[in-house]
Amino acid sequence: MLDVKDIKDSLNKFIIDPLMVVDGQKNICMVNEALRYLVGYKEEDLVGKKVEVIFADSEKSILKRSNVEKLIGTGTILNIESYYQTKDGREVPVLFSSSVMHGQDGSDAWIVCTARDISERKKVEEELRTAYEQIKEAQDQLVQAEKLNAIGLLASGVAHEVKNPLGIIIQGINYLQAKFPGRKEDISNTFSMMMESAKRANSIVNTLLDFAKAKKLEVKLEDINNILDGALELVKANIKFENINIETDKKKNIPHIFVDKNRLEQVFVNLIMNAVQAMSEKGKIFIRSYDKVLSEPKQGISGRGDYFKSGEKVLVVEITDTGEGIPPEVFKKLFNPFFTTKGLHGGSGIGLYVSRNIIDMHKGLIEIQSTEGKGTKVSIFLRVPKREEAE
Amino acid sequence: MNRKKVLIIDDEESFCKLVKMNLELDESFKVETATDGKKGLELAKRFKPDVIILDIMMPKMSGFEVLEKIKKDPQTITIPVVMLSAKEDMDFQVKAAQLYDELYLIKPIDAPTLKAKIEEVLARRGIK
Repeated sequence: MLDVKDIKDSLNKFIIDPLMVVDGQKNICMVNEALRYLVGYKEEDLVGKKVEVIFADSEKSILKRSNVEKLIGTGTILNIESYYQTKDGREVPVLFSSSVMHGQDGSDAWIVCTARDISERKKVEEELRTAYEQIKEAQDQLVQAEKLNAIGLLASGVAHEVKNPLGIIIQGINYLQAKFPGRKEDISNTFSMMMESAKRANSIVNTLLDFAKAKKLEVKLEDINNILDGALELVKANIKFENINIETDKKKNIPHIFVDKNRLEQVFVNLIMNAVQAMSEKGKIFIRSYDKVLSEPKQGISGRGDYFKSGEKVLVVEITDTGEGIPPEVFKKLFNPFFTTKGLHGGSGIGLYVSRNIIDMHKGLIEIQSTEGKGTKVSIFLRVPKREEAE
Repeated sequence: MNRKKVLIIDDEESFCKLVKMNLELDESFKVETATDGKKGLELAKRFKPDVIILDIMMPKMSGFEVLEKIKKDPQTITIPVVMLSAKEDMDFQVKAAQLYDELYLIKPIDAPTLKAKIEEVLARRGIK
C-alpha cells in the first residue's frame, strides 16, 4: 500500500509541470516544487490560502482570480489558457487543467490542478505575429509603391501630352481677347473663364508632374526665412487676401540649414494655400520660424521619416490657421495621394503627399494638429547641421 | 519700318498658326512657321529671322538636332534660338544651354509672355 507521504514526495519531485491540490473549500492543500518555482512563493505562503491567490485577474482569460473559486471543482477542466500571478506581480501564461477526486465514501472532494507554463510558446506566437504583420506591412508598402510608380509614369506621360493642346487653347484665347477687346461684358467674361480654366488645367498637370518626379534634391545652406518670404510672395501673387490676415514671427539670425530651396518653397506654398483654403471667408494665418533643442524624441504623424533624438537641435516652421479644422475621418487620409476635400475648384489631392515626400527627402518631419471648428497647425521640423557640417 | 522677323518651328500646326496670329497683331512683327526641322532649317536660311522659336519634341528631327544644325551653319549661327518644350526637364535645359540657346520656355505659354520673352531676346541683340 502506498504511503500518502510517498505520493506527496513523488508529486513534488517527479511531476515537472506545476501542480497543486485544492480541497472542497477551495483552499490549497499541497503545491509541488515546479509550481513554487513558477510563482516564486514558498510552500507556507500558499498552503491554507484560497486557490485564487495563484491566479491573475487577467481579461485575456476566461478563468481568472475573480471566478476561479466558482469554476474549479464543478467538473473537469482541460487545457484552458489562463494566467498565474507570480509573487512579484508578473502574469505567466499557463495551460490549466483540473479534475475532481472524491474520497471512497464520496464525502471529501479534492481538486488536482496542473498547469503547463506556455510563456515560450506565447513568445514565439507573438514573434510570429509581429513578423507576419511586418511582412504584410512591407508587402502593402511595396504594392502601394508599385501602384504609385505606375500612376506616376502614367501621369507624367499624359501630362506632357496635355500641355501641347493647352498651349494652343491659351494662345487661341489670347488671340480672341485681342480681337474682341471689351466688346461686350459677356464675351470678355467668357474669355476670362476659359483662360482661368485652361490655367487651372495646367496647374493640375503641373501637380501631376510633381507627383511623378523622383527628382534628386539640390541642397545648399539656406536661410529658411528667405524661403518663407519667397513662398509668401508666390502665394500673394496668386490669390487675393481681402479678409485673410497673415502674420509672421520669423526668428532673426536663425541657423542656416541644408535644403533644396525650390522644393521647400513648394512645400511652404502648398501649406499656406491649404491654410487659405481652410478659411472660407476670413481668418488669420500665423507663420512662425524658430530653432530649438528637442526635449523628447519625435516621429512624424505619418510614422515615416527618421527619428529626431532627444537633445537634437531642430529648426521649426509652423503654419497655423483659424480655419475649419480637420474632422477625424479626414485626418487619417490626409497624406494619401489624390485625396482632396476641396471639390471641383480645389487641388488635385497631391499637395500634402508631395510636401511630405519632400520633407521626408530632407530627413525632416511634418506634424499636424487640428481642432475641428478652431483651426489647424502644421509644423515642419528640419535638422540643424552640426557646426563642422555647416562649415 | 524694319519688322522683327520670327521663325517658329513646331510640329503642332495650330500652335504655329496661333502664335503667328498673336505676334502679328503687333505690326512690327513678321512671322514665318515650319512644322518640321527640315523645313525650319531651309526657312531659317531663306527668311533670315531675327529669332527662332524652336520646339524640342518633334518627330523625325528633334529640336536639339535642329539647334545643332543652326549653330553649325555660318548662315544661321548668329540667330538667337528660344527653346520651347512641354517637358520641364532639367537634363533638357542643361543640354539646351550647352547648345547655346538663348532661353528655355515651358509650354503652355500665353501670348503676352511669349511676346515679352521674344522682345527681351531681341533687345539683347539691339533689335527694337
